[in-house]
Amino acid sequence: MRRNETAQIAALIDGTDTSRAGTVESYVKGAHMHTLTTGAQSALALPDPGAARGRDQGASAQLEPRFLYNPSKESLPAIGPSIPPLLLLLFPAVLMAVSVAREKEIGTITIFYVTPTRRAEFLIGKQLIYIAITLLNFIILTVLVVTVLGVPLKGSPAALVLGALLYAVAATGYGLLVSMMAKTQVTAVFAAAILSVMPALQFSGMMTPVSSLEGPARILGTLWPTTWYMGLSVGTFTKGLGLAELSGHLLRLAVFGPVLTGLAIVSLRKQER
Amino acid sequence: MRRLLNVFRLAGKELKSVLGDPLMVILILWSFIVAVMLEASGAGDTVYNAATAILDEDNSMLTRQITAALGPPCFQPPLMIAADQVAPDMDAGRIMFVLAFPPGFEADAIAGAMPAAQLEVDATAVSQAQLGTDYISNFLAAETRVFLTGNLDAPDTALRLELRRAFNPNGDPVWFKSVSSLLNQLSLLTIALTGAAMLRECEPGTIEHLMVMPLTPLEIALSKVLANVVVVLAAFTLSLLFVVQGVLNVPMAGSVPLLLAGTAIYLGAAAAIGLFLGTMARSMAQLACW
Repeated sequence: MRRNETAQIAALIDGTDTSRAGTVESYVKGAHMHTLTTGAQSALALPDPGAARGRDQGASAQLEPRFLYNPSKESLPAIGPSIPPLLLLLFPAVLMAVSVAREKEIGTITIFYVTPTRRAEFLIGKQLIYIAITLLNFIILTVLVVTVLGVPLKGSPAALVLGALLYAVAATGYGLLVSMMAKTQVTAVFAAAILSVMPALQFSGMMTPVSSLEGPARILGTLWPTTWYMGLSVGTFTKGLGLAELSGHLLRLAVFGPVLTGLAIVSLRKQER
Repeated sequence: MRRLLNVFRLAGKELKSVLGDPLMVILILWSFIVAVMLEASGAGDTVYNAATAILDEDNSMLTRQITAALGPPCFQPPLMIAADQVAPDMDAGRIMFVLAFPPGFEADAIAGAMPAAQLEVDATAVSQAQLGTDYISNFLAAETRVFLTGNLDAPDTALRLELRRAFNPNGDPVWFKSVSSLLNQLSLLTIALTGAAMLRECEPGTIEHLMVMPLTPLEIALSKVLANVVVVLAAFTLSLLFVVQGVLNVPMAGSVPLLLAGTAIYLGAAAAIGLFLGTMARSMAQLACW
């Protein structure tokens, strides 16, 4: 560099974890640029102050980034609101699925077979309790996010509460549908957990923004209630949106509960085969 | 010898009860085939296929050149949008990055007046926001330099940084995601299967039948570990060979037998955790919550 020629430095990054490698890469580039613009010419006592920056005229245009919704790029406001959607799906679904499968496995479902209880009465009666439990969980989780994690609820609380109610119906409806297919509690738990964790974790916008998903991942994300409730939770907490902006999410979320519960009611048999 | 035979007999019974349930078999296949493929197609928190839009108020050679540079695999081909669309699109989460060029961007760049392009970033996904901003900043600098000097190979700085990624030179997320997804399925399934195997005996009371037979608790426990490890290891091997290497085309740089041997040992540990949880839990609902 003292001879005023181009020098090269190599940086070798462990590329096994692609996301970590990407972060490291951008930090290394940043440190490199920073050193070039501030440190290099003084350290090397280069004759020309602009020499280290570029052979031509250095940077000739700049970028002014504005980070919306989370200007300081803290991880808690980003992650905090995306945890409740996951928990509010998984636990109600599993508990709901087990509650019917247990009756089948132990044999108490015979009581349902021999009494004039209708299918909808039997299932919705069960579901109501778990919806109540889910809403209780929702209150606890929201308080935790606001107080312990310190993420303020900037948007409309009404939208969030309404969303939680619709989401609770959807999650329990999904649990009911799973328990219709399962013969034993083991399979009920498996099906409820395994089938729901992946779309909830991967395709709901928690790890990857929904707008970047493509192909089957995008379709699965769209057809899964967590995606819409995730949008509501992040929208009300981090983006500070109101009822009007989120009405689209609420309407889509409202479809899942009745459809899933309806499918469960239709597929429940009143007679043992 | 007799004890070993007992373990194998019990393991056979265990295998039957796992494989005899069609939904269970479907779930195992789902975890190791469909789930791995789907998860590998998601990108995790690298910037991959990010939705971008351009608000071009300059509409010049330079801004079009920068727009053309934003593209796959990191970005979706950018949409051209109007100023009043920016806020609704960002609020709805349809767009992650909006790059806005002010009028006179090209003229200012030629005059050396350091024009600034604005980038609106959805920072609800923190790591994608930061990485994407860095990428776009690099694209902007490189394209402007090429535009002004007319030379593709113009050295940018006197001290050039040569970045190399070891093990995964192109940073292909599928290589990492497919294997890590496979490992997630492995732990989850083994712990749940063995835990459930224990509970399946305790809850209806068939564990009492086993207790009054001339069997030691060790034999009962070992048979459950053995049967479930065999099922999961078989699924893992098939998934590794046909899904990860076959369908997803992930190259295997090291030794497959070594990986399988390590997996077998790991599965023993995971199955032991499952057994432990299975004996602690009172019901299936409790086990699931753990």
